[in-house]
Amino acid sequence: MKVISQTNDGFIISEKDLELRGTGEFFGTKQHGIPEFKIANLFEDVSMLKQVQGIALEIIDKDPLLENKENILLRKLVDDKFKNRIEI
Amino acid sequence: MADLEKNIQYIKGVGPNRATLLNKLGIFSLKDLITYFPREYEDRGNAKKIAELVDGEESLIYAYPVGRINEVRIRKNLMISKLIVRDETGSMLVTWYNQSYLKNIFKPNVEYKFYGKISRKYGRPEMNSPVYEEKSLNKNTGKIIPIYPLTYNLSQNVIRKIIETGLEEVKNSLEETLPEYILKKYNLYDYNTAIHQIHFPESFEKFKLARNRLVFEELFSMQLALLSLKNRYEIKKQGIEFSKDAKMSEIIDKLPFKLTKAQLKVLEEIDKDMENSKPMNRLLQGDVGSGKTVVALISAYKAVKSGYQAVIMAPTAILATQHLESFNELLSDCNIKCELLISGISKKKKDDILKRLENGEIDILIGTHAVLEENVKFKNLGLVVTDEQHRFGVRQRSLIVEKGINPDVLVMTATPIPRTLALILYGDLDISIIDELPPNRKKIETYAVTKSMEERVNNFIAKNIEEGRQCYIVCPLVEENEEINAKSVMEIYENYKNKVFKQFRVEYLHGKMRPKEKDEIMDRFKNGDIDILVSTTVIEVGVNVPNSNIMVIQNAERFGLAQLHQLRGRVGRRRISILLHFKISRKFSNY
Repeated sequence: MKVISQTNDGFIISEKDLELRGTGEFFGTKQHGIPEFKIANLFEDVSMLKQVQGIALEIIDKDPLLENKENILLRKLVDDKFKNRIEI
Repeated sequence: MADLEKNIQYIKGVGPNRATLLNKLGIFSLKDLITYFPREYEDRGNAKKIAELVDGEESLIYAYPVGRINEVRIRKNLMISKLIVRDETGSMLVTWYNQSYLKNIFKPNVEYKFYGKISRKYGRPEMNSPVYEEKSLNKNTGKIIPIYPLTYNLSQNVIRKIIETGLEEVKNSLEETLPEYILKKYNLYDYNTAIHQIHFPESFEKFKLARNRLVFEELFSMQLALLSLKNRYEIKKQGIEFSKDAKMSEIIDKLPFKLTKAQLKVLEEIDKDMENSKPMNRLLQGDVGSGKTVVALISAYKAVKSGYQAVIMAPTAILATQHLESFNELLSDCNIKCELLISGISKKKKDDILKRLENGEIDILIGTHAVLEENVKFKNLGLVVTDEQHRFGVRQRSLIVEKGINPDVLVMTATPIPRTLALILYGDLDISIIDELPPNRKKIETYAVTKSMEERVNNFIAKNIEEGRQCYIVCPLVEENEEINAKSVMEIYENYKNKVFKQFRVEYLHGKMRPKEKDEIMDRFKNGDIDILVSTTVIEVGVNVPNSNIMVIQNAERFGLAQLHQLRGRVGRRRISILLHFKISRKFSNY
């Protein structure tokens, strides 16, 4: 409450908010396009996020459409994401 | 193998009633159940000695009762049961409130486990309302216990049992979701182990490994999906080169106000993108009132003057209408035809718009989700602007983009996402930020006050209304349940209308109302026919009511900071000084 009554800068507020509440509640309820995570917490898991981003880039680079046999499961993960309310 | 799609109702111990409760938590199938993860854990594994207990810590001890429970009646409705327990290092006082059935439960010479929070008063440790059981049993204590996010009427014990049953059904038969080579390379738990250990971890280390695997999967699949999407954009690289002769400055010079430096900088970036042959994919962030709409307007102007159509997609009909009004006003002598497409309009009007859109008579279409419909066809769509992006999401964005041939896309949001995060989450977008408010906007004054000051707040509201201003009262979203939210709105509304503010015109607005009703109320509020509007956060997305200068947010502690910030942005978009109150009705010290 202190934060919000002292600043009008949305970015300061959002950084603080993320820190305090994690992404689950960060965007309030219901109304956001940010994926709702079942378990990840973007504040705690930022380093994991960076790591998987690197891994994902590498894989997509080599196999853009995820057609290789070894990536069948990944194709499925992506399709599932798109199938369900893909609010990426 | 277990059927993961199996309806939750048919899992042993569930049945129709509990199924309804589970549905509220988003659990419909067996799969939902086993992926409903604990919020936290209680370590009831490592017992302490009484002498080692630390004030404020949740602890487990093994101890024998000393004597019987002593009941002390404090007042009519308050009875305390006291029990002294001891181990070889010392004694502890255990208390319960109003639990007379406990009286004869504890047997002497039997060792019990007690788990609860320790408070140390006058040197002796106390435990209030602990979980207890005989030491020889091992049900509620003695291991790491998961705590689930819950809805009322469903207890931790019940859901724990149901999840245990669910896990039993799928026992080690879950299909692996990540390729073998990834599991190996990054040293991850297999899916079965991870799912089991996340619910009932055998140790803290195993919990960490389980969580690690599941977080990996969740973030990894999001990144893969994002990159796949981006790939899809980039495969069709050839976009529109908007004309260099269609100068943004033409319209900028005509505006009745001056743009901020930040707006000009952003426009420069957009201008460059538009003239480039690569399709623009840009995220525009800016606080409420920072002037994103006019940036959209100027961009649309350039598109139209280059011979293309533009579409502006807003999250609500009210907003779309408001956009149309400002577009019509600011583009009045530019020979640009704007139209509004929302779900409420008549069939005749709609057909007419669709026809004129398809043959190119309409230059700028402004609307809600309605513009996504299949029968909405453009002659040559060149620019797509989606406003307040968080309501739309990627899929809708790609739906609208398909209506043109690689049109430029501008996504606007008022949610100030920290930049580092935005870069990761919106890996597929370039980012522009308007980090400056127009000079005529006064800083919003914000006061956090407690419920005890309600009367003063009410007097203040009354004074302002007497001066001709208007006021918003925002009720918190209790949970994702429109009915309950509507109820809390109605309670406050009744109280205001019939008691506190009976001399004023009070109205209400909530998510259960029909869009038409909502629009009507908003219209009346805008026109000044309502003094006090009691509402849920349905007003959250930008509505201009310049004369409203006070917003009272009830139970502000239930909102996120970013959300509060966006909400308060709704008051006084014009030059009136502003006061904003938080009512904090329960103890709240986090912020």
